[in-house]
Amino acid sequence: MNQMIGSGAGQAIARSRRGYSRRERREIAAFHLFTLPWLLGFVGLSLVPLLLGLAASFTNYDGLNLPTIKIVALQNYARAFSSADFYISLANTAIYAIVAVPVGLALSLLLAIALNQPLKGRDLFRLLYYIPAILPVAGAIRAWRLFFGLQSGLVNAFLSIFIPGTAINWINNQYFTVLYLYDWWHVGGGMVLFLAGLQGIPAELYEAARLDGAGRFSLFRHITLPLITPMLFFQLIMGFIGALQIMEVPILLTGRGGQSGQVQLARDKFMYMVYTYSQVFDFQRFGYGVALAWVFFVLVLVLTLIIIGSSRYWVYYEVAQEGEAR
Amino acid sequence: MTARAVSTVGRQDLHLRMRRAVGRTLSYLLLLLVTAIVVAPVAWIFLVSLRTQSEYTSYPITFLPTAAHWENYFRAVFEYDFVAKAWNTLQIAVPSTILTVLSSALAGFGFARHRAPLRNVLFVLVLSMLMVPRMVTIIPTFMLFAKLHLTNTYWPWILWGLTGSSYHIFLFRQFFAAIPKDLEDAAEVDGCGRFRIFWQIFMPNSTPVIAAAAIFHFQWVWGDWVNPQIFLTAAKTTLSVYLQSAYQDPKGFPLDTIQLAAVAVYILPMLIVFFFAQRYIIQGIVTTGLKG
Repeated sequence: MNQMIGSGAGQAIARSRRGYSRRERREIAAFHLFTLPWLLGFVGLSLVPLLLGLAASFTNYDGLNLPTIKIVALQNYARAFSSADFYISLANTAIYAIVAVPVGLALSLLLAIALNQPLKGRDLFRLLYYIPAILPVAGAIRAWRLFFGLQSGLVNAFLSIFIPGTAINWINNQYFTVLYLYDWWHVGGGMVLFLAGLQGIPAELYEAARLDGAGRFSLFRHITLPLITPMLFFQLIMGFIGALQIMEVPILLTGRGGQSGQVQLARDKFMYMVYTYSQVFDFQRFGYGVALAWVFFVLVLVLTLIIIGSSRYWVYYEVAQEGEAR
Repeated sequence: MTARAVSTVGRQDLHLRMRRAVGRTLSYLLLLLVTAIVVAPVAWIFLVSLRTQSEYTSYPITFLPTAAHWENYFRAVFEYDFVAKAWNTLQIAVPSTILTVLSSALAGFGFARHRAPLRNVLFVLVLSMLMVPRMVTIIPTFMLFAKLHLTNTYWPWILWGLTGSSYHIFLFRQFFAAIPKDLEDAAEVDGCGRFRIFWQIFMPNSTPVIAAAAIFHFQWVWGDWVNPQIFLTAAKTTLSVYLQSAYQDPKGFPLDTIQLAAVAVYILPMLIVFFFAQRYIIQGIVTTGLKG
């Protein structure tokens, strides 16, 4: 290992001494040509907007006042941190994501394990479970509004069979409904991934453990779970980043979202991005809105770093053996 | 002695088989329950879309429609602006898909098959953009595009398409990195340039990943509500926005069943594409570890 690093460093030094060969230079030029469109987009359509947004968050920009724009320093941020809407929407979003993401991952894993057995109709189930993921949100939400409707909804009708006269206002109970929809939408995709992960676990491991007398639970606890943690870890990060950004679902669920629809949710049912969206596009508070978005960005970044930092306590990494192609 | 041993083995075997049967039954029950939960809302769209409005609002509700009112579909599509909005959606989705797939494949090829000093740093930037919350860039992008008079045009989608998307660059990079080097070497010996290697060797050998990327992206644009809502006005908007509020009678009362017929027509192409191309879609998810 040390030798490898040594020779690599030696090569690098040798290369920097004689510069790149013609072939290497051609390869570098080709790399930059192939990635140029992306690089232009990254700078023009990601980096510039990001920095522009950051700059705007220190101003009172409202979309029209460019000639008379004022720098307000940290006022937008101070306003966020002293606003009840900010804290309520942040707490709502955090609670919802903390429940929805782990529950969704657990369900995905459970279904993947169930489908990893030699059952009849396995491929059909896998196909069916992925359907929600391909439904366009804007279309499926219309169905969900009727599905969860107060009078004509199927859910209340179904529950009325057991408890006559059930009329739960699911749509206004956004916590539950949004959480349920998140998992309805995401469990299928997670299941496909976990299924691929499970099928990558060598069967010999299970056979050896079974010969040693390990039971089903202990097989899961000591083989399946550790070997699936790298995938679980990745899904947890991407899941949180996605779930915390929830915006369309609550907006469309309440039936706003037509061309002139302002977002009107009861204050205590706001999600963070719904609040941000509404501040920008309903009230033209661009400066304040981008400040909210940047606070969110930093919080998500911190959360991601915490999960990454925690990974060494629970994520199982196979150490690559010398000479193995890993 | 031997007889007793045999019978114990037999009993153990029976015990094992029974446990397996119970496990299998429980698995099937779970799978069927989840199937019902997943399929019910989708089936409900089609069942409600065939009713009259008064049948739909009557209480208590019925699970099956009394008669199939197929004219709801005709009305949803032809009495409203459905066709025009579908045309708008296609005008955005088709160029956007072609451009995104091409530019992402180019960048993916660059990252997968070339060594360059800055490669890893730039690739980390590609991946880190997957983690930036969408609104952090969308709000200032809107501010910028409004000043450049690009709002209420389809230019934003063209620009995004020309420069590729992180997700698809990652998808192509993973796929291209796994292609054996022999092919490339042989072509290089024959004097092929890098672009010809990309276009005549890598692309023709990558139809599954091209299909996956094209389907993912088309499906994403078709279903996206945020960008059309922010960047376009009513005349130019897409189906996803139009469907939210268009279906009302002249007095402003909602026509839910006709609207659901429109929703059914809106989601049907996605369902059909999925059933025919599920192999590629699932391959794409597994290749990246990301759900589209």
